[in-house]
Amino acid sequence: MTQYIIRRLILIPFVVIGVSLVTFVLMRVVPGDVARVALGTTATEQSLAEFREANGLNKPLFDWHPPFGQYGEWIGGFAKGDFGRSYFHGTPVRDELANRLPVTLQLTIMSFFITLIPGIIAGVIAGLRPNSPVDLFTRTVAVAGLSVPSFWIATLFILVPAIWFNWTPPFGKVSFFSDPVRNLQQFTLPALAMSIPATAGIVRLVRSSVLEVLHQDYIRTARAKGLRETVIISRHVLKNSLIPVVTVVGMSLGGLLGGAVIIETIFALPGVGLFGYQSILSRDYLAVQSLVTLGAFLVVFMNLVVDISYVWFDPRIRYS
Amino acid sequence: MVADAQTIEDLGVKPSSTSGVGYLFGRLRHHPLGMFGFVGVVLLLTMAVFAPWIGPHNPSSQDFTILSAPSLAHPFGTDSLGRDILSRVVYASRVELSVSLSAVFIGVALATVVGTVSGYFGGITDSSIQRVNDVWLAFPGLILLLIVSAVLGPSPRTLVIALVVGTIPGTSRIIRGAVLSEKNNAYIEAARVMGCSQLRIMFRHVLPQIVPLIIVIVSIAIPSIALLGAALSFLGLGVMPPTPSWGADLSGDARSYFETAPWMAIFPGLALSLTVLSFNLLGDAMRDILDPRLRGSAQ
Repeated sequence: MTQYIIRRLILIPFVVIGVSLVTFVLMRVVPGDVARVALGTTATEQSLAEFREANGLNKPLFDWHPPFGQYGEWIGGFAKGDFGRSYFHGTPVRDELANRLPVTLQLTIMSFFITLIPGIIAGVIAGLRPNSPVDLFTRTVAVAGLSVPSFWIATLFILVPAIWFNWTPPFGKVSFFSDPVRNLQQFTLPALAMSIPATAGIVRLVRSSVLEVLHQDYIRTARAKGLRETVIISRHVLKNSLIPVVTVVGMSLGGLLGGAVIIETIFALPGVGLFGYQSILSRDYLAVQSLVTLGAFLVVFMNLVVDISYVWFDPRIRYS
Repeated sequence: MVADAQTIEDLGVKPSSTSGVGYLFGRLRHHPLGMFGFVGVVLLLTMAVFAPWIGPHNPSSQDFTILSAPSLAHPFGTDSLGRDILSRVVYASRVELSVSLSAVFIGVALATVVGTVSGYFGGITDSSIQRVNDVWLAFPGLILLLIVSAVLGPSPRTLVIALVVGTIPGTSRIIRGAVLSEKNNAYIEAARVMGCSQLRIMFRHVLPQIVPLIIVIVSIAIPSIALLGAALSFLGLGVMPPTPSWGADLSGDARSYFETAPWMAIFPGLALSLTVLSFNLLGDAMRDILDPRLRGSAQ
């Protein structure tokens, strides 16, 4: 087991470096002149040249000698925690990310609970009584929830209160600690919009997983030795049927940035997702590279955590 | 007499019909939700093919009545440029369907080749393909697709490429797993002993065994790819206006005018949701029918 973890840990830097290289190269082939995008169409030739010089855009992309070209310079700084300067905002990328992280984090945590609690409860209830009216109802709602695009739900969440109650959520972002009411007004609808498709997915997953576990031999054994049904469900069914939930949640936490991009854009929440989207559009190389590389690290790390957690959940699993 | 028999049918034995379109459809008829999805998909395809006859107006022609509420002349109302929304919704099915379907078919086909080669050959081939796959899968969520779209510039073709890029790594890994568990069977060894070439074993012996899995993958991938493609169009990195598309028509003016003209934001989203719902129901039915491990569990 330890050996397995060590081998996986050794692979992480290679994967992350691979991601950073691919991002670096792809961003450089995005058509358009970075200096022109950053300075606007009115910029003179001289100021464009100065901008390129100041940001090291004239240097070779890769080089065999120190500082190893633009890539080497950036990744060297990245490893030391210096992500470079955003062309667009003129501030260090690290500060931009640090300012925006709390928004995405709060969105994530809120939608995490909104997704998991009702999702698991509904999934277990449906799974324990397959083909009952409750099950049919849950499944219908779940497949509908899975089919509605989150960006449309988000649009409706702004539209419906605006028309019916003449109320729109206050845009922008206030810290929870300075004004909790306003903060929750801003975050509840986005978190809800982000959660609906995810909840539908969790319901279906838990339901089929409960059904599968109920047919296992160890459940029959538990029944045969006379355990009460509540104990069987809480001790045996629940624990075993939540293993796939751990996988999906773990993996989606890593890939969360994707959902955050859409929801943050619609609700104008200044989070990491919106920052990534804007940085790609404005060809803010260092911002994109740093964000994607950090994101990749999170993905790979979460995948490892998920794989290790299997052993804890299911002692039959062994890694060699 | 038995010796003259050319095929198994000559012996009076009916081939077990556990595959094929007839079998699939026969099972589907006893699956009400799946049938519902199937009908929805057929209606949708009809709408896309006969869009000029179904949509009452030209989707790009502008009327003087901008932002008019749903009426007899414009059942879904008109948008900020005075275009008929019903016609745009109908015409958009063309680009949405062709983009999603081609992305899924190209993506799954490439993933099948990659996954089969990787799983069948094993060794260095397998580990090098899988390390590339690791990097590919490590990109957080939508980001890789956004970058690819930015590189190629927004267009339906770009959208297909971006969606294919998003499909290959995960799908090829599933197929590789299936090939790995298939290739140690005795019939593969028999084929090898008979002198079949590697290519023949891969594509004539292993691949047919995983066809049901591939059908399930395709039918589950279509709705999610359709949603993803619409999301990219919504973000301005897929199909661009003035081409009618549900994703792009929900962004921009639909969001600026939602208080005065909510119909702009409602109908394209409704069409997209019903499309995805139909494909989801059909996909669920396909999985129930074809995946014996899950058979009965979701009925």
